[in-house]
Amino acid sequence: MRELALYIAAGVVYIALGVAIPELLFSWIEGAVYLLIAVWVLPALLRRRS
Amino acid sequence: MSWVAHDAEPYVIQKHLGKRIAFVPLLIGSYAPDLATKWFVYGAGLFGVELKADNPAQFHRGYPGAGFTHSLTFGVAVAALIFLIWKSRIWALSFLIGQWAHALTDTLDTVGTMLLFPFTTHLFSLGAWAYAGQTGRYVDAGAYFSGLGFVWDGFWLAWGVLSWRVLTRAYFRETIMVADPFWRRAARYLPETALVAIYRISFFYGTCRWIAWLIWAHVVHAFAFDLSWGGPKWVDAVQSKELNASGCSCPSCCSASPKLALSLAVAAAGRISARRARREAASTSRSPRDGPDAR
Repeated sequence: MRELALYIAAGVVYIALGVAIPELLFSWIEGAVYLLIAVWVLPALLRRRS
Repeated sequence: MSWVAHDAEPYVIQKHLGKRIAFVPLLIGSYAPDLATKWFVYGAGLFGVELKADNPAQFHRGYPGAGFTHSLTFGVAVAALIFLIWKSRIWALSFLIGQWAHALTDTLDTVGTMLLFPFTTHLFSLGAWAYAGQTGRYVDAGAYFSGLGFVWDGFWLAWGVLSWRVLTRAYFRETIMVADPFWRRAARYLPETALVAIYRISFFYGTCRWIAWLIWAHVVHAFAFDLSWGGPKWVDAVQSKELNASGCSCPSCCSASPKLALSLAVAAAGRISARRARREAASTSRSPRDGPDAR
């Protein structure tokens, strides 16, 4: 459930960014990098800090 | 063209084929027809030089052009190459299924695809939504997300959501990793969370793009919805008949339609008569038992 919430939050931010800067929506690579940062890199960094 | 279906289709196919398929080549196959050509359809600037196809639809789907990437034969050729190089039947088959899904899906727009290239350069099109790649990325996005194209994408996303089990960690462990050594090799360098995220990327990307483009087209801008067949009519759509040579003499134009109709009629008649024969056989075998003599 926590994992799903993380993906949904990442999705909401991505959609907002995409609507504001539609150029972002054309790049699969940027989308992939964004998702990896949002659901793997950032949570891992936060876990390490706490 | 389809904007999101190519992202979602592999997950639905995955759900139905399970371990008989490898996800990475399936996804690559689903993207393959547009992988090297889409940028030239819309155009791109490089060092102040604008590079764009003179006739985007012709380049994208036709011949001469790169339309052969949307043919069924292209899928077979690349799958054969994959098999020759890696000796992996599952990789070859997965690529083939992904590429065929793309080629068949794109027959739904008004330009269609050269499915049977090189036997014919005829573009097979069902014309459900307007092909407007030549208008540039943004008008094309507005048109696509105003016509039946976005409905088609929504259908695949909904089917993907209904197949939600394929997106779970357990499914990834038990099916995706087992079927494809790519993931087992990647697991030496990356944690499972990263691998699962990589596996889910296209579904995430497709879903978010579908929602974002709809908001962009109808909330931020005011593109008009037109869900009529071949719509939206407000955009200048390219039609397959403009690219198919007039009086096309290819076997498809000359004889495929009547032959197909005849084949379908024969198949239907055969089926009906077979069913009737089965019913008669069943009733005759039942009657001695059910009848008064049997008792």
